[in-house]
Amino acid sequence: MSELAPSGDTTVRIEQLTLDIPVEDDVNHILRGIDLTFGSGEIQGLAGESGSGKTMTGLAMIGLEPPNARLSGQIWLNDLDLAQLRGRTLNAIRGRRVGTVFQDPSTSLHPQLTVGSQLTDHVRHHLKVSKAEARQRAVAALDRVGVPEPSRALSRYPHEFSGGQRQRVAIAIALACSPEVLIADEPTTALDVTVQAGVLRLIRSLVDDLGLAVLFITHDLGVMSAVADRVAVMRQGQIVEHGPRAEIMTRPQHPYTQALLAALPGARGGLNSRADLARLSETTDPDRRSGPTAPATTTPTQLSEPAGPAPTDLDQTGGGDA
Amino acid sequence: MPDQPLLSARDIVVDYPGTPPVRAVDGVSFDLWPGEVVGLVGESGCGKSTMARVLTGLIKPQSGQVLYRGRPLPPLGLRGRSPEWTGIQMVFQDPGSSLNPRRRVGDQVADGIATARLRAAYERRQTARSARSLTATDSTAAPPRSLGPEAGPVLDPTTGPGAYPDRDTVAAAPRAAGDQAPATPEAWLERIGLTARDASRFPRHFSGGQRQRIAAARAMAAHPNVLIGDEPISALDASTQAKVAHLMCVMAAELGTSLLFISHDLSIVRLVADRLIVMYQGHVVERGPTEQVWSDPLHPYTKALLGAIPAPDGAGRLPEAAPPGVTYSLTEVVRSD
Repeated sequence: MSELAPSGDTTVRIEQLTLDIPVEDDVNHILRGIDLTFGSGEIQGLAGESGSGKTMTGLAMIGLEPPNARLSGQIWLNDLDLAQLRGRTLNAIRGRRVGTVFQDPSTSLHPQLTVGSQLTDHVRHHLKVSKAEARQRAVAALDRVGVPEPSRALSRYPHEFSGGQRQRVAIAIALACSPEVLIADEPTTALDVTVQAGVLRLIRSLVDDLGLAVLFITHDLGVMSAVADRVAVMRQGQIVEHGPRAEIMTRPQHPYTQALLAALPGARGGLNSRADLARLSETTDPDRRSGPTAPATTTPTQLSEPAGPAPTDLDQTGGGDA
Repeated sequence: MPDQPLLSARDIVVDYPGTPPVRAVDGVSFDLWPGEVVGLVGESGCGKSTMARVLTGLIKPQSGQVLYRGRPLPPLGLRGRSPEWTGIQMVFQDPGSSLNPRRRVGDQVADGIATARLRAAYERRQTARSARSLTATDSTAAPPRSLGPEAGPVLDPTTGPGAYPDRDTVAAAPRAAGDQAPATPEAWLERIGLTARDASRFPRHFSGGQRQRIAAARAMAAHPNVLIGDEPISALDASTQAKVAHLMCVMAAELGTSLLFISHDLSIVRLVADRLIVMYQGHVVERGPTEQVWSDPLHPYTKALLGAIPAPDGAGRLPEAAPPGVTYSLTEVVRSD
């Protein structure tokens, strides 16, 4: 579907991105110097547990960080620094050159607008095309993502679709303006596994066919292992490990990545029997970040920075997973 | 094996109102035997959570029956439930909403202990009553065997430690040997890896995984014969899911509690469950010992479900996607073994 393909090669280069949010008389350090580079035809995975800052990294790329957040560092889209953009110049990028797919299509789609109007409004705005042309693009986008009967689907509302179809519609909306970059924040977390498989295949084929650059954010290392080319593992606002998928999954170097994989069924060195489960439960608990007087566990996975405030729950919307 | 299942679902049918009504569960039957861990798996809309609600009496089925220790379970009303039925406990998906945010966690676990105490007293009365009637009629029938915790150290300090109820019929008895149930909220919190001082804290002071452990401790403190976990680990971070699932199973084994573990995530359930029951669109389509179902699924739906699980192996293998619009047979496949 050549009309949906972006033009030219794109590189996204995030450099020393930090994001602080003041709370009362303290500051939450949400991102502590993120460096990440990815480009066309590549799926860059961003893994991490809730509160690690992975969702905030994606939001910061499109200027959707909380209004009181203090952002520093650069987010280069080729030679354009998105971190410096405000207002109209930023709006000209969002939805046009950078598309976004969120976790839950039942909240990211407008329930009272037809799929057609949600698919054509931003196309007409960004590309300055006629109604008919926008409609044609919308049909092409729906067809590309595998929504059956695309032209009839235009007049239907989100609730008339199943969860998987709804997420495909959300992907079509993100694709309609032929963006160069797609930010996919837990795009399959709300879906059943059998449906998830189809959406993962779709995203992979979009990257391979259209040459999109995708930032794929997920807590699920199984999903990560299926689609990502490169994987960055985040913890407490930092990238603790970064590398090619197979390297990270089979030869993790950082103790935190090792601990994450050791707690997963099906991973190499992970849980494959009840005995593994029992062994895991005897190890130190990474789940300790609780009450004020709870003893600070110093596991090897602990980062070496000062014991600042516990990571905030800002990321919960993206990380929590049902 | 004991001669009667602990909990039985018999031909359960549940309709949710609507035009037309939605049939969420359509003729589901299964048994839960003492001391076993059963995984009830399926995807959204298959009726697994509806079954959890039926088995606890939270909703009344259109037809069919739930038998607990051979007696039909009455639906839960506005009043508190008679101690007779508190041997069925539940752990919900989201501890953020199932724990009371305004009560200290120690007090909430104490509720479970009080429930166990009430039921023990009730069962002692029942046993005494039937013993009296037995002497009157000189029948040879045994008094109803209590699976309750009445002889446990929690409930009757005078019996002393180690005096567990008659468990020789409980399949899990060997696993339970030598272990004692915690007797105080503080001891329960220590059992689940927290500290005694945590008893005076509120749920908001704990992480998601810790909260779910507290919810599990509260349920287990009631010494249930049956613990039903409705997606108890799916709201947790991946690194804590396995640990919480394992903790629930270990605690259940220690008390000889049967565990019905409901989940959409087969990869962890298959590690903890003795048996699997697979549901699809309100029907059971396959059931059997976990290893058999996992390594040799017979029903096309079970095959699709297992094939769709992505493994974190770094191989970059995309999971198998079902063709769009595919539907599967609702007839259960029967294993010959």
